[in-house]
Amino acid sequence: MTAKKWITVLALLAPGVGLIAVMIGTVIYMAVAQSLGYYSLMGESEFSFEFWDKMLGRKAYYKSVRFSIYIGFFSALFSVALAYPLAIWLRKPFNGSLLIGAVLKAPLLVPGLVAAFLFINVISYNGILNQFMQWIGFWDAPHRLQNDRNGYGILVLQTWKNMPFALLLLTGAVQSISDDVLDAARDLGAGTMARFRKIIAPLTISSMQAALVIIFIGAVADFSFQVIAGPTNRQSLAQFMVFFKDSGRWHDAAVVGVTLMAVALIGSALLAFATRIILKGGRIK
Amino acid sequence: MKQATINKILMYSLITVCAVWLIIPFTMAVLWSLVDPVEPWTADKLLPPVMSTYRWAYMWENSSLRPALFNSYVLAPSAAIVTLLLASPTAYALGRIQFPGREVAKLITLLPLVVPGFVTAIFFSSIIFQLGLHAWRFGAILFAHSVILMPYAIRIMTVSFEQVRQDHIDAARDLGATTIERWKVAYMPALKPGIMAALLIVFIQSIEEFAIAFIVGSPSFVTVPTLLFSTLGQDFVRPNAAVLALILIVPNVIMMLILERLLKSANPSLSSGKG
Amino acid sequence: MSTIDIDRLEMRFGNFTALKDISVSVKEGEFVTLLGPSGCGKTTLLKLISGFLKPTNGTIKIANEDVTLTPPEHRDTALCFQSYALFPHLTIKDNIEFGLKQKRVNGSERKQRLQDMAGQLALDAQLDKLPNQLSGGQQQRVALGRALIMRPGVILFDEPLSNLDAKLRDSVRVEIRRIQQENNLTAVYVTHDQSEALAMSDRVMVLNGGVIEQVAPPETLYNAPSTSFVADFIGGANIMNAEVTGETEPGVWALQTPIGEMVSKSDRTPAAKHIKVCWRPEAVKLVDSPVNSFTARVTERQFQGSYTDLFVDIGGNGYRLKTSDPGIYPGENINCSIEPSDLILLEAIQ
Repeated sequence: MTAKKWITVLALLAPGVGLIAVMIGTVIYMAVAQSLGYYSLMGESEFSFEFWDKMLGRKAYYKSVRFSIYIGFFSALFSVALAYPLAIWLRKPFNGSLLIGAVLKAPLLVPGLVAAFLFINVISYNGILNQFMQWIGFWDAPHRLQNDRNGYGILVLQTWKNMPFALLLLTGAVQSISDDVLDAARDLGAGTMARFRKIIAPLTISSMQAALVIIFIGAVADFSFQVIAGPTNRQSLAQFMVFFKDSGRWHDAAVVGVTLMAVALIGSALLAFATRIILKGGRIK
Repeated sequence: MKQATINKILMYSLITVCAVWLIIPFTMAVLWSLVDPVEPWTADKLLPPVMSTYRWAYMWENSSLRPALFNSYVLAPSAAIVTLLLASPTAYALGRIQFPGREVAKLITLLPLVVPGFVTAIFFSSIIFQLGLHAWRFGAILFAHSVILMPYAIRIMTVSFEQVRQDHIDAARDLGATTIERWKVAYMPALKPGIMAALLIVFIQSIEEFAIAFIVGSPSFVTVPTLLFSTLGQDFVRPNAAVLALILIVPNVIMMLILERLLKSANPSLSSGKG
Repeated sequence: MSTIDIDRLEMRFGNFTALKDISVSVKEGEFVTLLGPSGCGKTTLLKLISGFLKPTNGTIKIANEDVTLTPPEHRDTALCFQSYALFPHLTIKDNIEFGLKQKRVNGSERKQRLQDMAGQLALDAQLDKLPNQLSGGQQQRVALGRALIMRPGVILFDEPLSNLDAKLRDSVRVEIRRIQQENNLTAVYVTHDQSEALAMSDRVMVLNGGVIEQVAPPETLYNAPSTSFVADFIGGANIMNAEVTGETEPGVWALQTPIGEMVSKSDRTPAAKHIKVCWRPEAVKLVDSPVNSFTARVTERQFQGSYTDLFVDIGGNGYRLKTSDPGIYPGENINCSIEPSDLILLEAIQ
């Protein structure tokens, strides 16, 4: 490549990739730097591990890390586990499959906050779910479902919101497997489970990893679902971070922010890796 | 049992589940938005005792709904256009020029999707504070939206640029077309659906974006999502929240219907920003 | 090495009848080709035999066992796909062994069979590669090996050569036939290529519009087609309408045709008074003869190397001749004749 061509390419990249790299790079740099005591908005800026030290001594910090990982992992798992059979079922068009696809993907249109509102509306103390359960005689008295201690409400919400996304990715991947390949497996004696485990899953592994990772990152960093529908005695990492920031403790917020990024990154890598191991390494012989 | 029978059974049960899943929540929201304050809707009644559009009028008159709508609907189209303008040169380079490091550049475009939204929001606001630019919140949010939503636009436009056929360009040149005419004849027809899709997706994402609008905008700059969030907070009035939730969802449904039409022929995973 | 018995098979898709009243039996170790134009139902029939489709009516028996409703994974058939359908994520070794693993064949036997198969198909060096690293011909052999290693009772081929270039096609054709004969496999082979069908098969089954036109060994099919469709589809023929005017002596029929009065010597009894008859372009002799002779005017000539195609006009109708004499040109009138046994009686005119 000539120098002139390089300059052209760099000039073209500058407003797009360049801007992204600069802005996100600065954001990450700022988070790391502030967690280490630099860029103080008040007081002096100097390098120190003080904020990390103090944070690592807080019980609430560990609780919050654990809670976020729990939400992220199970949201991704449930969404993908639910989406897979549906994607396989919808692989070949049949009467009504378009309608089903549309209904299933409808939550993609619903903004997260609206989804949260609709959800708490249904599960509230006097809401329709409690009424219904009492009416069929399953429960004697209304149960308190909102802000449940285990975050089941959040998991339901996250799955509702993210399953369609996993379905979108997986449908594309599953549809790209040719009929002949699946027929060949059948012809050679592979039953439904064997076809899934040995043909469909390995051939759609990258879409599955993409779905798992993207949903995991989104759910691990969740703020609004947690504030609206989550347990009141737990805090997600994002919530924890906003709490520090609102009280002006930028350095503490930065420590949590860096933790959140690390959790998202390491968690995604582990998820992707584990998927590969389970599908390719497990019981090959 | 025959495959067709199984499909039928599965289908009906699924439609039932989805109806419960979609219709009940939305019906509840609509009903709640119609509750008249004269008489509260208590648990023992199937429908609200008195229904009126009072809440809608009330929210329109007495909350920040009007500025929020104004802000959201100025912000989103601006973000869509700015994002498209910023993304297109990069998309052209990624789609039509072979250069070493292209794959790396493609990976970098995904960065905004990987860094959690609230981390971006908080430390972007920190940067703005450091630079002393926090006064013009609209500009700051517009800029941040344009950057974090750029992956979608770059991805869609890159595919569009790849689809421009070299023989069309060559034919136009061969027939003596000028640079501008060449763009009109060979590029635009292939790019048009991509441009529309990119604009719509950024528009929708910007309308419902919460983290940046909330962190950078609060307390003075209100968008529909931040207003809804505060309504869901300490002074939670269910009917008012219902009104806001319904208002927030309307543009999405309309835009998505248009988008669906646009993307019908295209690969669904194109719009997801992953490849 | 199983037999196949198909009895009054019918397949309908909604209102469309893809196959109607198909009855045929295939012997052990026989190579039967399903031949016909696209849309004739040959692939549907193959899918019925392999179990991917369930017939609307009728039965299929393999090795005297009714398998009409048995799913493909439990049938003793192995299918070679037109697209090869190799598993793109598995190595050649894993592809070939796939079926054996499903059947839980133990490791040592699997290894033995793999070695045999790889040797037989010259794939030893490719076993650790992925399918997309192989050439088209090699992929074809892998598909073949993957099916053969199962030692199936019936091996099915769905136009296996259509993705190969012409030269390779000939050699793979020979190879498939050799392996089938060596292993005494019962084979059903689908193709739309008549020369493939004639060259490879013990018997050919010609399908048209979902019905069987004729089932016969290649030689019979060529020398004694029973319908004008078969006559035209295999080798090409000049087809005429004829009226049977009488039987001059046993097995010899007098006919009134557009090119004059003719006689045909045939074992068949004419199906009706008004029938179709045909003659092969290459059956014409350019000499006068007491019977079945006529004069033709050459309208066009195409030199083909070993022979020359002539388009001629006889009494206002166009016909085709093939001759080894390259010295005949348009405008000339030639005297021709056809042996009575080369004038073939076909079906009745509807």
